[in-house]
Amino acid sequence: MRALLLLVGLLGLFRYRTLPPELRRLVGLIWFGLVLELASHVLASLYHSNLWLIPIDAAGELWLLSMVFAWALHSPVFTRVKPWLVAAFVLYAGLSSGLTFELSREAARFKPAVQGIESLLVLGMAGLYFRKVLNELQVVSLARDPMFWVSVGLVIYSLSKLLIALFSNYVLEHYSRQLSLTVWTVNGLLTIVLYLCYCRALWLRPQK
Amino acid sequence: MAAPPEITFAPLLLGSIGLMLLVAGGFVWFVVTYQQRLYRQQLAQRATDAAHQQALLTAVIAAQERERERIGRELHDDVASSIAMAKMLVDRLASGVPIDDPAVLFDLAREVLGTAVDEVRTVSHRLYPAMLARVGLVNSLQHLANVCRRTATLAVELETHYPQPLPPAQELALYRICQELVHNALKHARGATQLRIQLFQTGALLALVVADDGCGYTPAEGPAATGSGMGLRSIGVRVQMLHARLYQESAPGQGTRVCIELEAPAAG
Repeated sequence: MRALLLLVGLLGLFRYRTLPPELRRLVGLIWFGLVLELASHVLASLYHSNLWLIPIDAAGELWLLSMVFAWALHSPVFTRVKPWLVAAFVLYAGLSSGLTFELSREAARFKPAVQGIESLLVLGMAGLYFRKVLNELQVVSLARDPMFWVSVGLVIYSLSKLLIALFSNYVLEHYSRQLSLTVWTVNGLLTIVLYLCYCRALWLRPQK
Repeated sequence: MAAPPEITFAPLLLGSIGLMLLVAGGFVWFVVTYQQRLYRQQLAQRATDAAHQQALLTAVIAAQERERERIGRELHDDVASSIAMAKMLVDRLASGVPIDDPAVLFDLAREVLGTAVDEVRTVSHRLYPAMLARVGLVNSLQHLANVCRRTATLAVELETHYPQPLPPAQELALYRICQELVHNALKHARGATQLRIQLFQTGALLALVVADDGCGYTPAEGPAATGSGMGLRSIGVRVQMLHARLYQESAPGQGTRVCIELEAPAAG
C-alpha cells in the first residue's frame, strides 16, 4: 500500500504543473497521507502506539479535502462555511487528542467519533460535487472528469470506513486480534481503491 | 449486554462493509446513468431550441423576401405603369402634334399621376404605418378595418378598449400581427361574411382577437401543422418578441379565431 501511495504521490509531483488547482491540493493531501503513513510506520516499528495520529490524520485530511472541493465546487456558500466547519472539526479532533493524552490508559484506542464525523463530512462534500454535476450538466463524460474519480473513491472509502471506524474499538475490546487485523486489512484494500481513484484523477487530462 | 460470539459478529461486520460497498457502487451507478440521461435530454432540448431558432430565422428572412417581392411587384405593376402612362400622356402633349382636346389629355395625366401618388402612399404605408406613430394603434386598426371594408365584401367589425398604450415597438408588432391575420382571413377564409377585430385591455392583460366565420380548418391540417404558413411563422416571431401567447381555434365550417395575449401595463 505504501508503494502505491508513493507512486501516486510521485505521479502527482510529475504532473503538478499541468494540474488544475483542485488536483494540486489533492497532491498535497496524498503527500500528507504519505508523511503520516511514514510516521505511523516508524512509531509501530519502535513499538509505540500510533493511534494518536488518527485525529491529526482526520483533521489534515478534512482540511485538504475541503480545499480540493472548494476549488471544484466554486460555491460561495461552501467557501464561506468551509473555514468554520474545518476549524470546528480541527478543534474537536484536537480536544479529542488532548483528552486521550491525559487519559493515558485510553491511548491505545481508536477515535470512532472523529473518524465517523470526518467520513460524514467527506461524504457530504462528495455529495455536493455530485449535486453540482447533476444540476449544471457541464461535464460531458463523467469518466473523463478527474473530480468524479476523486469523489467516487471518497464515497466508496468513506462509507465503508464509517462502519469500520464505528466498530473499531468494539472489535478491539471484544474480539480477537485476528478479526481486528482482518477489518483493518479491508480498510487497507479500500485505501488502495481510493488511491487508485486518485491515480486515475491525476492521470486524466481535465476537460476544457 | 454480552457481545455476540466472534463467529457471528465477524460475518455481520464484514457483510455490512460489503453492503456499504454495494450502496456506494449503486449510488455511483445511479449518478452516472442519471447524469447521462439528463445530459442527453439537455442535448435534445438544445437541438430543438436550435431548430426552432433556425425556423424562426428562416421565417423572418422569408417574410422579408416576400415583403420585398410584394413591394417590387406593386411598384412595377401599379406605380411604374401609372407613371409610364402619365409620361406617355405628357410626351404626347409635348410632342407638338396637333391634338383635338389637350385639356382632356392634361386632366387624364393629372388623374394618372394622382393615382400614382395614392399607390406610392399605399406602398409607403405598408412599409411603415406612419399613422401608427401619429394617431396610435386604435386609429391605425380603424384605418386597417376601413381599407378591408373597401377592398373586400366582408363586414368588418372593430371593437377596442385600450386605455394604456404600449411602447411604439410593441404597438408596431401588434399592428403587424393584426395586419397579417386580417390578410390571412381575407385570403383563406372562404365563405366568410364577417371579420371581427378586437383589442381589449383588462387589467394587466392585453388581448388582440381576429375572428372570421369562414370555412375554418382542421387544426391537424392547418397551415401551422403542415408548416406551410409563412405568415403564421412571421406572426410567431412577433409573438415571441412580445413575450405573448398565441391561441388558435378553428374547425371546418366554424370559422377561425386567433387570439394574442400579452402582459401590458395596467390601466391607471
